[in-house]
Amino acid sequence: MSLHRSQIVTAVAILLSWSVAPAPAAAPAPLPTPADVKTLTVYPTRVSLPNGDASHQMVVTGTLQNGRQVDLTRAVRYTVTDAKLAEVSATGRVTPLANGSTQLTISFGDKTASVPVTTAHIGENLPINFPNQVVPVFTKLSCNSGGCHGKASGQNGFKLSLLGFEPQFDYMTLVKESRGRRLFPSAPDQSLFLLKASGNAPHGGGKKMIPGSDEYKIVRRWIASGMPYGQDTDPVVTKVTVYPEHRILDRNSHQQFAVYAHYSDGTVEDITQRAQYESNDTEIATVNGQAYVSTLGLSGEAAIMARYQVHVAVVRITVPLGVKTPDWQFAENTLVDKFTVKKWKELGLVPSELSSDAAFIRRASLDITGTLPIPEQVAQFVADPDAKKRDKLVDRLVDSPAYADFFAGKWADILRVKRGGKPDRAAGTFAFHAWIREAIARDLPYSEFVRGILTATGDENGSPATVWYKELNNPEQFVDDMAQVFLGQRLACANCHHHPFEKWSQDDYWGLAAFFGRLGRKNIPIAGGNNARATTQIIFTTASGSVTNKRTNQPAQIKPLDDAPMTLAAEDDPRQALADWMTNPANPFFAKAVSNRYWAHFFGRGIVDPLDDMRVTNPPTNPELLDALAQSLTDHNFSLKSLVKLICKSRTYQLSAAPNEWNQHDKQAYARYYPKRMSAEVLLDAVNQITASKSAFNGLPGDAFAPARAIQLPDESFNSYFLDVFGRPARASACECERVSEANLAQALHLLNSDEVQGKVSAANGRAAMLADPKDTRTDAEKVTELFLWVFSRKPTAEDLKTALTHIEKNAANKKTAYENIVWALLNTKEFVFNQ
Amino acid sequence: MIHPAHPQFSRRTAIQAGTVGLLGLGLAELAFLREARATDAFHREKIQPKKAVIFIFLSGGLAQHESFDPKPDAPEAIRGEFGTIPTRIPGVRITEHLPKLAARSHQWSMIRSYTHRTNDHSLGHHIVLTGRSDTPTGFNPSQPQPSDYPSIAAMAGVTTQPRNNLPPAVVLPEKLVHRTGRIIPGQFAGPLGRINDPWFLEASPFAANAYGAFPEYEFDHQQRAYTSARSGFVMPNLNLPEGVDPLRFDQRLDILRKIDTQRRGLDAAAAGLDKSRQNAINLLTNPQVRSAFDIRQAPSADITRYGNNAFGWSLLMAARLVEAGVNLVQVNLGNNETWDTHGNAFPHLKEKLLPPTDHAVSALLDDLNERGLLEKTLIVMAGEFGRTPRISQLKQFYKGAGRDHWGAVQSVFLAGGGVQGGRVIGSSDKIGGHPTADPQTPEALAATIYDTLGLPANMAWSDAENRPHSVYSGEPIRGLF
Repeated sequence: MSLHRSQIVTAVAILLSWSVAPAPAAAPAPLPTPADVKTLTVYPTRVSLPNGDASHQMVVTGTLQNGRQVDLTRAVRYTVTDAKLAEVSATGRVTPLANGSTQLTISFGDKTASVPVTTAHIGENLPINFPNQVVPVFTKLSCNSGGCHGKASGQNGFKLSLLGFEPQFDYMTLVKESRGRRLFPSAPDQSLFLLKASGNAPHGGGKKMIPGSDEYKIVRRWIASGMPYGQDTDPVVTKVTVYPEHRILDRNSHQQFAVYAHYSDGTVEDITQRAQYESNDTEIATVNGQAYVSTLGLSGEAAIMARYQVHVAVVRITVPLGVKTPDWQFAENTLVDKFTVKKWKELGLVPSELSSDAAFIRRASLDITGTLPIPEQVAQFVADPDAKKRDKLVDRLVDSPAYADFFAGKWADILRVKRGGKPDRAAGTFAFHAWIREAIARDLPYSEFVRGILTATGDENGSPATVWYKELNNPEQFVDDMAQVFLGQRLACANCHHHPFEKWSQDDYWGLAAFFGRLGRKNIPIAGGNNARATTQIIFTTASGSVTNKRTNQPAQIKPLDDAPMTLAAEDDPRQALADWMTNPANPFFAKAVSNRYWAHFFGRGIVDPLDDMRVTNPPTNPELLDALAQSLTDHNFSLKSLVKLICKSRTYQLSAAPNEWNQHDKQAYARYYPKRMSAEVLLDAVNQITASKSAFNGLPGDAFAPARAIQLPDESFNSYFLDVFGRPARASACECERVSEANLAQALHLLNSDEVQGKVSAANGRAAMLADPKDTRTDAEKVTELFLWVFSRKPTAEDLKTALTHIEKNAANKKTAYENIVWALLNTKEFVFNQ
Repeated sequence: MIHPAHPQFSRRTAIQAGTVGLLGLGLAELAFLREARATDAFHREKIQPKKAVIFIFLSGGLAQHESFDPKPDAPEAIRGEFGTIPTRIPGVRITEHLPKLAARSHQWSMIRSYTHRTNDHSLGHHIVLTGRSDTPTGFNPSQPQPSDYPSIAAMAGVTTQPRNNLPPAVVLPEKLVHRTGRIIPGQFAGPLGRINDPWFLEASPFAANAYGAFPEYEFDHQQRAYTSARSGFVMPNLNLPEGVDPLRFDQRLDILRKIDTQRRGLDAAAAGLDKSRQNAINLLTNPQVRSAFDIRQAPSADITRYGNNAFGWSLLMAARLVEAGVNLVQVNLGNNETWDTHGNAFPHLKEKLLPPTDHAVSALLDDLNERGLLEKTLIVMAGEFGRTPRISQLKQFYKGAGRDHWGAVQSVFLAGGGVQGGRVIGSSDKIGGHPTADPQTPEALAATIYDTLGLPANMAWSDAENRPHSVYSGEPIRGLF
């Protein structure tokens, strides 16, 4: 089972995975015969084993007649010319036996290849470097994982640094702590550390090492040689690479890969046996400790992470469906389609049919404006013969006020427009919300929008975006929010330790935090304020100031991610410098992050998912598509409306939600529309619109022109059980994940059974009352048809109509009750609650 | 002579060891070792709970002197007004006002050395309800924060698989809300996300001025006049709304079923909604499930046995819910600060608080025992802190004397779920001020609960950032089982 949060924290995710029928069973992919293989490629092309601990993992690839590449590492025969010098396991791992030079021959039937092998320093007791050779053992065996000795409190009194990110700490713990009782150089095998790890003394974590294994031997040799830490001049790892980086694999097949550490002295070492591996989607591919990937029954993309010390690298695995598909054509509406089609071809998927007009207007209206279309709009749209009507609808929706309302709410969530129980903050939250809405409505370039927030200076009246800084009281909050919202990077890990799945170090974290160092705040009394304590906060830039790097305890130097440190003069505003860096079209994070956020809004899943967790080890499922979206955004001067149009006018967005035989298991290639539950505010508004009722929000004016819809609420303070139970975020974090989209019992009970919903359904002047009104002389069939258009934006089927009319007939004496029952039933259908 | 290489076992030990191996410990150990060997050292899948838990929470803080740890030999200013009675445990006495529990002392054990560092109500609630002694970043005593630690109930909810379509963790009969309307922190799911809050079965109406086991034992700490706002439990979430009778509800469901035929494309996406809706309909229409929730339908013999008051109803519901398949029920025995006896402590404990508690908890023990559920149900009873050793007098508020907040020590009651009866873990000093032996932490008590549920030692929960956190922050209390 995959290791995602959702699986432990939501019953729903579990239910979903139950409901997915197993993929069509596929037998393990048969190996090709030598006759199928055109060429045999061997990597590496020379094997150098410079010491007794070294080994090399061979990766043997057969290129078939049709051009496909197949892993043959475990199918070929390995022969070492001088068998005294080196040996090769059946899995293709070469280990040295004695010094010398020889030849390794790889044969697959009549195809052969050979590589030279040299070995040196075998049997010599070479100096050991603790960080490079010993600490990776702890990581590989999970001793220092967050579930064991790596957690902040350690485990049973023994604490290692998380994933070995701090070798010096680990050295102190092992060698010095507890009066040195853990290691015993004069009898290394009797060291408590080895006794426990090998299961020869009671160990809660079980037997982790087998005496005689490579891991055991290296630790033992390190203890026996007096526990050296290593020399300052010893080389350090500068990067980690993998071979191959990307492969297309059949379902139920395998791929060996190899991992290399590149040292500061230019040497490269095979670390395949010592790196740690993890798949990001264990339903598609799994990996074992020897870097051997197995694909499963599902098609799709998986990323296999290799971790070594603080470095990570990724092998991308693409698994096509691999079954014969009918020919299909797909007209490209926008450049989106070019890249989705390419991906479907690669994965062997067939896209769903185009959605119906009725489905499309409902979908686009909900996704772009958070509003259900009304029956007249649906009827007109369906009847419109214009071939361009879908594009025109998108244009119209994007220019509607509801678009600004809906997207202002979306941004207000992650910009945390929040009163937090403080009534005197209302003026500020209203102003900031209005500022956001205005920017969305007039399509302020996104770059300017973000600059306006980052560099906001003044007070909330003159500069409403300064309200953003009310929730950001320290540099950590600033980095976490700013990076997550604008850069799609979750950096919080790097506050305290090296990011476990990224290259970001604490220094990167504090380099960003330093941009916050000269932010000044001052509370000044409001002239004419209605009590003596009324003040307003001014945000300004101070001439000096710094942020302390928690790791070094020194002032942090200003440094953007993946870029050179900056030196700024006293008169420069670091926040302007940050905005300049971010909004530069060449910035590698900025345009991609927002493109992915918007894509996820419309498709229910980011090209990178989670949408604000864009890291090397969580690669996009369609990198070219993401690049194209970002490029288009910068080309259009960061116009978010153009981005919405680009997405919604694509044919991909207009696909039906109904799957076909080939895409029914697709969860990441967008070969169909993935239905999503309406969000809390949209759902409440929809219920109100359908039942012709209103929700009153305390604290808002009650007149006819006042905001009365849930999607217009400026901050989080408006009490509503409905909104809370359906997952409205409290705006406590900058993560869109705070919004709950999963179903739960309380939601179901509220729709089925609450006084609130019953009150709306049965209101004296509500929809049921209107439809039951004898003054409305239409037939019941016409009325039911209208009701279905309100709720589903479609006409009832013959079956639907029969059910409704039979019920009305049975309750002819009390038509209002009958209509109430029908409205109630429709509101409780999945078809209503979901946008599909 | 015993050869060092061949340790000698008695026949008895050998049999015990063999039985343990056969009856599952061996398997569990094997599973544990397998997990430990996996690349990811965390266990993240929901588990089938081994046992259920009823966590009785005494908001306000029960005085250890006036309950399970009396100090009959201390000076009067410490001893208090109450006498003591013997239990069935030789030499162990408890307050004279818990006679029914004293008679059942072979069925329960107690910790006399539970300790934490705060004397503050809000932080105390957070510490005891979450089982974490440290204060989370951003803690606000007046308002629950998303960064607060998950409550033990929330944790049980996310780590265990639901049984019989019932929510795995239920809190009843109300949320803990201060009389001023402040919601008390520590009761929620915190970083697990609100969707994982335990299911609050809010059956008891909110009362700002009155405390305790209404109607018959209701009181006000300061003995001010009030109008009783509460007469019985209501089931707000489970009653059909005004104007909808069961027949009409059936009609509605009938239309819903016909129109909501499976629509292709929605099947997978809406599976969660389907399931929770089915569970909701089950709650609303299944008579057996309804009767577990709706105490008003309970046989009068049960009501009499547990006590016809809020404490009795709460524990009766807890027993029925556990039997129906809820994994953990947190019972707030009394609304917020019911046990906060700064003044008038002796009359209130004697007349209002201890009698319905003694009665209801004893009934719970007997009832579960008769139904064969006691061995499968751990009962824990604790408050957010104990009370000061020295009796104090706050003349401006109270006529009579009382005791103030005291986090340094309190007594915790445990029974069932495999707890050996008649044990006393730890002790407090001669004035009941600090632990003198075997101090026990909130972490250890939480670990005992998790262990009873059967959560693996390496189980983890994840926050919104998908960062793993260990479920256990301590080791289970030794000597209870």
